[in-house]
Amino acid sequence: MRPRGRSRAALALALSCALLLALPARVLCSPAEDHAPAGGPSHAAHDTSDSGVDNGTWVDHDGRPIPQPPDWEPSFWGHQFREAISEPLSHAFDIPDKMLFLARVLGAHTRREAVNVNVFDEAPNSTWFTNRNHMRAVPVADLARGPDSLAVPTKPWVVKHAKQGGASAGFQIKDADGKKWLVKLDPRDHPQLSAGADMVARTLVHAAGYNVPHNEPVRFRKSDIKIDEDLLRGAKGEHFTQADLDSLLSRGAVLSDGTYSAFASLFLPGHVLGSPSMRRRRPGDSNDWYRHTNRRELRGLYVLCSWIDDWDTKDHQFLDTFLARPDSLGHVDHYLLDVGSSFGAQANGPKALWQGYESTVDFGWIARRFVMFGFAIEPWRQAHENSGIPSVGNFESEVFYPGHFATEQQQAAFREMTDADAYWGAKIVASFSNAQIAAAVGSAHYEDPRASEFLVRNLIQRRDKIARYWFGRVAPLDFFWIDDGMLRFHDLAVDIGLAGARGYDVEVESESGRDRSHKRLTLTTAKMDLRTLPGGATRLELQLSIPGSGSGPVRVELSRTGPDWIVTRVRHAG
Amino acid sequence: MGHYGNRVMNPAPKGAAKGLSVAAAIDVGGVTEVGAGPAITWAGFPSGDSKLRLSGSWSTTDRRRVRLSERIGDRRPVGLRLRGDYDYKPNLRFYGIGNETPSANRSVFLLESASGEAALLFGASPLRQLRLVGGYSVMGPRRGYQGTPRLEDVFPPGSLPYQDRATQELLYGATGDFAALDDGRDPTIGVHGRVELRRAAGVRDRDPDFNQWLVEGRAYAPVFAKRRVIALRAVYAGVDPTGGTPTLPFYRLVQTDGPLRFAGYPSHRFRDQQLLLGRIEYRWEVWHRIRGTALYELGEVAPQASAFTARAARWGYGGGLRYGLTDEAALRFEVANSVEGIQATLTMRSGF
Repeated sequence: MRPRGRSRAALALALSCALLLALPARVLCSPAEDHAPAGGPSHAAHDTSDSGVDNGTWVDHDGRPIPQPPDWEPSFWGHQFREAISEPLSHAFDIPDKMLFLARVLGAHTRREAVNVNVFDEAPNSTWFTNRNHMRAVPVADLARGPDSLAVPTKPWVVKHAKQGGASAGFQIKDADGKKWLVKLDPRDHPQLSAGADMVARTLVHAAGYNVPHNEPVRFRKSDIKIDEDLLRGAKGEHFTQADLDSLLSRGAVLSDGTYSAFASLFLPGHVLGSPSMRRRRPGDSNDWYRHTNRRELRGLYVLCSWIDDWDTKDHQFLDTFLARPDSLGHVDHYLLDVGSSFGAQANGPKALWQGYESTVDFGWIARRFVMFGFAIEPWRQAHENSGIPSVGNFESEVFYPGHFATEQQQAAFREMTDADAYWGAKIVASFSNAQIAAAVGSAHYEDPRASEFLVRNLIQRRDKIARYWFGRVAPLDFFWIDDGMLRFHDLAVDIGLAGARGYDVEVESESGRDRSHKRLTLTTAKMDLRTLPGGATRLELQLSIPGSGSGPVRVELSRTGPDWIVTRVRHAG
Repeated sequence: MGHYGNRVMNPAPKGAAKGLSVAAAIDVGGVTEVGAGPAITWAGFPSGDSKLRLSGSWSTTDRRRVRLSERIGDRRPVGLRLRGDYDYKPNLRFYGIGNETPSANRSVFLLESASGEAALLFGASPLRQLRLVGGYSVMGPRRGYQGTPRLEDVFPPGSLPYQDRATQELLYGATGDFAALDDGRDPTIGVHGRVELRRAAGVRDRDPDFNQWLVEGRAYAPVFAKRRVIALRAVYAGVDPTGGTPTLPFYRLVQTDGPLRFAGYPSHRFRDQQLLLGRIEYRWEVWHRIRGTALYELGEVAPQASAFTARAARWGYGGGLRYGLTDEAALRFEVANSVEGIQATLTMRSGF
């Protein structure tokens, strides 16, 4: 009897352990959807079209008319403390999370996947993001022009206010057409450093799909400016004299023709609500139905930032505006601001060498440096970042490692990024061709020809590194469609020339009523003949992987509608 | 129309604040001695580049401190600095006089002191500045509390010079800093010399006359990179009776406290007429202006220069963190070991 009792106890223990391990795995594996309110996007929508793909979830209807939400933005210093100190420490000591890490061997996902993805593993168009270059290439001519119309502040300018806050020198103006602009000067001895970086970065960020404000690089002379009479007199409490203007201009950069180099930002239309949090929804915005940490476009933004070295991304570099209709209802738009701290620039000069490689408070590097008595060699010390070009600053691509890019403060959405999110971001970055990059850099009209050449070369190298790195973690098989009984797809690494023609392993699980069958196939090209599969099957689950690659597979689901198949779900690194 | 841009993306650069402001002043004298009080600053008094500061604190061990300072044209080629201090410390440690005093002699006494000093400054930078100083100081020991045993329980009355007598002194002399450093806050290469020479004349006939001096040399050299630095420091300080003064009050001797504290030993552990201190420190960058430190130190006190012997030197070694606050001050956390055990200290000292 005792041996049997022991075996029962052992069995019970084993079952308990299995249950304990399986439960969190099951919970974590389940799609972590933030529930959309009624009227929100339906992830189950299967709208069949002639192209054989489901196009029912390409628009996230978050621009419905709503009453104006109250002004709100996260506390600047609270955000800094939380993201720089409190969150990294609490994550470091999150023991249960570390224990769940072990559950990965059982196939559990310890991170929640993004929730606002459609059946094709893409972020639908929304007030945050619009699918652009990776879906349909932005014409080179458009990129050369930049994201804005050609509106520039017409001279003469009237200074209405001094610029408040921020590290750069500047002032608010009203141009000859009555439009309000904020003018930011390039730092002294670095003409076009900020203006050029802002123009190129905005062009790329906009083409990638994000909303950006209307900025224009401008040149002006002192004679183009006059100070508002009320401001001169201090009639409204604010006093700004000619001496103040001279002092400001003395901090600015001068171009070869003697003009000041700056960029002008047109005031955004609508009512400014404040910066959103990259962590939570905006209070009072009933269209804002996903926690921001779970938004694909905010998570995947990490990869885009790593490409352009936008190390200053944080809550307060976003801005929400409310655009009201005549009936006072409207919707909230979300803008990505101040991408001028990109490439080698920051507001008051070339960026510090460590920026982009370390966070301001980087506990890992602090500990490493301390225990190694100063002999730890950080990547940024090995990187030859100083371009020697005043309008570029400190930027490089040799030491840059896509997985180790660091923003000044860690970001909640970036921290939650999964391989699938990063792959999505890398797909967008990799979608920019050399010609497009050259055109985007050309939009800044750098006076120094070395600047354009340097930026183009480094952006191309960084793009390729990003693509190699993330496409090495997730099989870059995408854009699945059905054509004449064939499942076709793109191998993005092959498309952009990072890999030669290669084959693919496919595990096929077909479902026919209650019957399920498995099959293994090897494809020699990026297409699969569905007619060779069992005739009665109504649903297929495919797992595509690249032989000899450690990259995560792609799961594709297909359903039969009549004689044809349609793609009903794609998940990368699932 | 909304707008963007005139919002605080980064802390706005601040100009010199003017006017009256009140803040909290915290004095940390140890784990069990934390003092707090108000600090009133009047920037721009009496003129544009001046600053008046009055602070006071009262600690958990009943220590009371009041400090007044006024700087006029401190960063100009010629300036004036005024200082006044009042300190009432009921548990000042005393172990005896000399380098060999046993730690078991630890006792406490109350020292009440007040001083005022005016300094005429020549040189805009505190690192390259000559100061002509003159002032007044009064000190008096009394029966201590907030700790046992009391001084008189260990050292019988009359066994220490001026054990129960306060002294008043007029002081005058010169001090100076002469530095050639690449960075005042976190030097990586260069030298820094400091000199303090003061003559003290007793106000009353019974008050002693003496000379007081401190000579300090610092040197810094990088170890293959600026983020790794070897820092050296040597100090020779002392007081010499003059004008027929036979002995000096025990509380006016040079003591191992503040910047002269020996690593690995409690504060005020040693006191005598002269003090020698040498330190070698390896510093390395940990985070921005925070440096890790590994140090070795030798220190000794003696009644005269000829009495110093290498064998009697007190050693200590340890490490910690250093944060350069200004050209003149650094916040340091140190853990150091000596023959008397491990001591952890948090100090804000002169630049080293």
